[in-house]
Amino acid sequence: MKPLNRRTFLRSAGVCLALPFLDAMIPVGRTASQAFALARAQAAKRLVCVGNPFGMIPERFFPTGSGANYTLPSLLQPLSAHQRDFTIFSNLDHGVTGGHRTAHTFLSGIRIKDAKMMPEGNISIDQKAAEFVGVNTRFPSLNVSINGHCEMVWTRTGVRVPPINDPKKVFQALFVDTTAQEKERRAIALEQHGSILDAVMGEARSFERKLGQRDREKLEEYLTSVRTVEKKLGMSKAWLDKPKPQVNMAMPENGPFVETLPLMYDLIALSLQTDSTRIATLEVGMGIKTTDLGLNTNYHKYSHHGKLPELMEGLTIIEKYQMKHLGLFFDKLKAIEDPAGGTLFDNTMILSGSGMGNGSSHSNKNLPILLAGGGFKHGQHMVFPEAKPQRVPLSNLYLSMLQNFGLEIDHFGQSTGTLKGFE
Amino acid sequence: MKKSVLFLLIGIFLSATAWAEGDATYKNTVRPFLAQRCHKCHGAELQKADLRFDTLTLDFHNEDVLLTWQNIADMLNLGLMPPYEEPQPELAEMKPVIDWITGALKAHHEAEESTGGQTVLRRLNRNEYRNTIRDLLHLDMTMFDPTDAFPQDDEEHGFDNIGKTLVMSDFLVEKYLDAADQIVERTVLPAPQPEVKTHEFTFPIMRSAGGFLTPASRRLKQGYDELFRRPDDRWGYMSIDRFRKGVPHSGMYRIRVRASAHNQQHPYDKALRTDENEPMRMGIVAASGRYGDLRQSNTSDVPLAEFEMIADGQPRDYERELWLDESYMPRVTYPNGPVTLYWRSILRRYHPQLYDKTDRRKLSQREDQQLVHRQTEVAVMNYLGPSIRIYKVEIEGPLYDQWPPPSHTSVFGKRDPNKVVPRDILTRFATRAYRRPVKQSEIAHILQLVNQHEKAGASRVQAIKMGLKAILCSPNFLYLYENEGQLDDYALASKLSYFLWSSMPDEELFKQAKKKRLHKPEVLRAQINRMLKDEKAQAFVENFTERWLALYKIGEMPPDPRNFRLYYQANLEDAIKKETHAFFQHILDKNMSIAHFIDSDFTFINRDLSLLYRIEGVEGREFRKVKLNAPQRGGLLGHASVLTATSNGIETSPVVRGVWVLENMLGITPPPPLPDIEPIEPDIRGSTTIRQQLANHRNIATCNECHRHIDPLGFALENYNPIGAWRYGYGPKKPKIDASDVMADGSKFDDFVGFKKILMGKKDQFARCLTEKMLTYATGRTLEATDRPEVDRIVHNLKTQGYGLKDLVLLVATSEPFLTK
Repeated sequence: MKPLNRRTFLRSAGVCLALPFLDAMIPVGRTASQAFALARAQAAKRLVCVGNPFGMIPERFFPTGSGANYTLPSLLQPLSAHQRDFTIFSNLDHGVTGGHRTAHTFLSGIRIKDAKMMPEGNISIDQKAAEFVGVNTRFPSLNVSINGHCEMVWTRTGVRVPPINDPKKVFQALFVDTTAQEKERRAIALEQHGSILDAVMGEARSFERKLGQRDREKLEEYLTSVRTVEKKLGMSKAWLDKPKPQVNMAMPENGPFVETLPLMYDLIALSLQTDSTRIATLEVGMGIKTTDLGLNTNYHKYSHHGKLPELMEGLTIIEKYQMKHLGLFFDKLKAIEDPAGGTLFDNTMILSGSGMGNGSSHSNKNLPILLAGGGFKHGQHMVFPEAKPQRVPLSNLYLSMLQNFGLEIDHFGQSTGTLKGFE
Repeated sequence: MKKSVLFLLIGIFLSATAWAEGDATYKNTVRPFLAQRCHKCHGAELQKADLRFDTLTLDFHNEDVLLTWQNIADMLNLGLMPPYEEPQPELAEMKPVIDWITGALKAHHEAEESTGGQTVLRRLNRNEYRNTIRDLLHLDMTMFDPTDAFPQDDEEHGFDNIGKTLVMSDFLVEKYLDAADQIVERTVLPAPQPEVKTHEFTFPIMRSAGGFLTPASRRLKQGYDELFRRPDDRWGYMSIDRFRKGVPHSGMYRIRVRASAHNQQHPYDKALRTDENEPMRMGIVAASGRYGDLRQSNTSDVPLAEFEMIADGQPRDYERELWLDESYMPRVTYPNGPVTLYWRSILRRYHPQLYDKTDRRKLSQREDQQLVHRQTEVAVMNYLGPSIRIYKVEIEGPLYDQWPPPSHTSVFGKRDPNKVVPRDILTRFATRAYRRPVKQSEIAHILQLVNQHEKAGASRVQAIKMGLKAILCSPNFLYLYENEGQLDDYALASKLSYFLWSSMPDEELFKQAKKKRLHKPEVLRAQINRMLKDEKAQAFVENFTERWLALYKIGEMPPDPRNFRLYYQANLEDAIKKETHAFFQHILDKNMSIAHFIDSDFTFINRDLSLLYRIEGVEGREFRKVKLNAPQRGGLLGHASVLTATSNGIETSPVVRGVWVLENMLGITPPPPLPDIEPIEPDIRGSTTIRQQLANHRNIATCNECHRHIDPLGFALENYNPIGAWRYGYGPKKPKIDASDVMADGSKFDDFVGFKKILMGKKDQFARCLTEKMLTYATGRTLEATDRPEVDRIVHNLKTQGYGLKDLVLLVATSEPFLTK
């Protein structure tokens, strides 16, 4: 694979973090700080979504039995201690086809090419949740990745939010205060940006007069975007003055891949614990260093196993490794008390899955969906109908999750309702 | 899926039909069919699945109606309805119904998508923004990419410059603000010219050895630093310890490295995976400590230069003048050095008498570490493999041809920036940035901003900087404005320059526009010819081929490093694209026939690519024209770039390659697979070939209807592996490859060579396809039915003139769709 242009990656990702506000969520008649205090007073829900590019080997991920008394298949073995605290879903997907080119629908259910026909575009579940609670935290959401990405996080305007792939950068963004000089510089820049936007808005109006109807509609995108940014600037300034939380963790250094995944989970746990954000996503990329797991070709090659036992074993090692650290992440969250009551695990929904159901056949069907925590009744393998007319969209689960998160909505993506039988 | 009803055309060649209640087919065929076959369960009495057809209208703008019709077509196609207990309709009865519904839905979607044959207000995409900044401000972009943080541009049919599709978002507006800050800060330089200084570094240049040498072994070798392996993520960069902050000012620097090369031929043969017949190379890769560790690959890495070395152990000076941005440090690398270098395995295999056989499992961690250090030292001292020794690095600069630099004078001229009149400066700048004369009223808001800022206490330069930033965030800059009807000369100048240069017009184009001469046919032709000769036209060659041939897909999926070592060893990812660029460029420059894209007896390769193609006698990194004697290459379909872009790095798929040939050479877009067809689950344990697997697929009639058009085109390319190397079989104990097939029109071919002959017979169809692609790229919109006469005219003229590629560019740029909005 082309080594990701890491420069592009980090710089863009770094800046994307400094985006702390969506004011559309402030209830009418309240100031930002009132809304802020209000939300804090209630027990906060959190959401973590983890994805990979190739899914999980179906025969080794989905249990054979259903209900509460199912036997853990090999890929779920690393999670055995938590069996009562998560749910496995069979036969949920977004009803789309297209292999890799469609895997980006994992958290949205909508293909990018269909986005413009949808009222909320192809917004992903995490961004939808972030719009709702983003006002409360320095970062509306935190997107991180290891060794690449899987095009997982999308805003309502169809923009893919690039993740940060360097633990050090994540740590700096979350916990290292910039110098007074840098803050001063940034404050001036924000101030200037406000004035610049005023001026271009004025100019845009005279520009608009020269345009025909279709072009005016296009320019409307620009006008709306400028207005949104103007509103965000104020909140950016407010966060600039607040010191970042101090944590008991050393600045991470570049290490081997096997240490990066747990490091990222540590950082996510800390970001939730310090209420730096309430939404986090973790993307496992195709470029993970399989040699660190004792393997001799790349993740992509193993995913094309074509049922060859040697390749299937290699893929199992990679997938088990991911599951193991997911389990350790559960442990971590269970060990952190939430001041509002219970543990962080109780108040955090952790979704794990992929936009691909079977990497070897490039199928986007029957996605390997696992949900833990968040106060749902867990401990089951829920099997939904396989045949087409009765099939249940995965978006129904997302709608249930968003409602659990506190959103008063009755539709998300391709949902036809909430997920029946799951509470 | 059930039985054999499914002989229905999904209509690759189905044309759009009108949909209206009064349509004869609708009234006489579709309606009666539904009444007879469906109303029993989906009619007035019963509404199974909540569906009712007897009252179903043709109001496709109602989403429920649209979905219901789509559903009917799907169910009939898949043979799922009527249910199997019911009498089944004959194919002849069902086909016209499905064809009509499919056609009507298609026509509806096309009408919805239509932009009335007009380009919708188009914002600059990333490429265009970056190039425009380069030309607007005369900035050196080697280490500066203001679009770094911009989101990826949206695509339509592979093109990333379609006005309707390119969206604006708050995310992007924030990036525009930050980019404007960076751009203006590096343009306006307040200080006097910085002094020229020489920095000199000798042993030890890099004390902390970044993992490739232990501190102990470093003590053993004095007087030089040594590079043993090619750079990768973790090591292989010789960074300069005492120069961590990099150069203090952006500018040109003279960089001189004293170095020697050793042991190009060596006794370790394959263990190191070097190419012993290729000259050793020394590279300069700059990076900034601000973006990460300089001893490793760094997110800001920019390869600046490479030198071929004579591997005779003699120290020589290698010198080059290179641009360095402030804070960047030049680091030395050995880009074609060993891919793998394990010191202990070198000892074990080649110096067994020096190898320490202690069982490491019995050692404590500390003892084990000591053993590794000791053995590494022994290995380094006895190493007979290739290495580059570096004795001295000198960095001299910054050197300027003129001061203030052109970026500064492009805004302020030669005048003192604190004494200029803001209105003059900003009007002049806006005129170039907006690519047309501006009225004072248009930039009134920006002038006001500058005034207020100065009144509030900012210096004049500071205030002007605010104005410059605002101009770079204005819709007048970010969008390409076109007037309705015949384009005026300024709009035309921009359209031309974004077509051929992916950038703004130059002084000459502005001059012609100002004189209102540009639209005159002879002036226009002369300008196009001039522009194609400019080196900026490289943007057309690269961006157009990338989009037309989908070369942007290269690198998305990593090839298997075990089977395709050469891909990584010879860095083919760059080389394969360069071949296609050079080939296209040559055909364009010489105005050769576009038939060369189908088949040709020459191509452009360098040594790296010659290894993949197994062509002998090509040395060096430079691409040169070679005559092809074997029929296995020739034409775009023999280019590794195309063959890699159409596979996934692991295996090939005749379906993917077949669709590619249909879409990009024959101009036909096949419909997507039916919604419920699952992809084949590959099973490579046995000896089943892809042909047998696909045959199963093609036994399903609905699938076959499209696949018989698609698969043969892909099978013709089966002799090429996923990275474009020629193969005869799928590997040991696997079947030989059979690249013969029968096309949907009945013509047969035995192999790739025969297939190209058939394609050559479809030259006109190819010409039409290429015309449509180029017209799409040139106008920034997708073509519509109303464009058909103009496309026909271009293709006809192209044929009359002998199919020259440059002629095609001229025909496109002088066509009606290009000259009007």
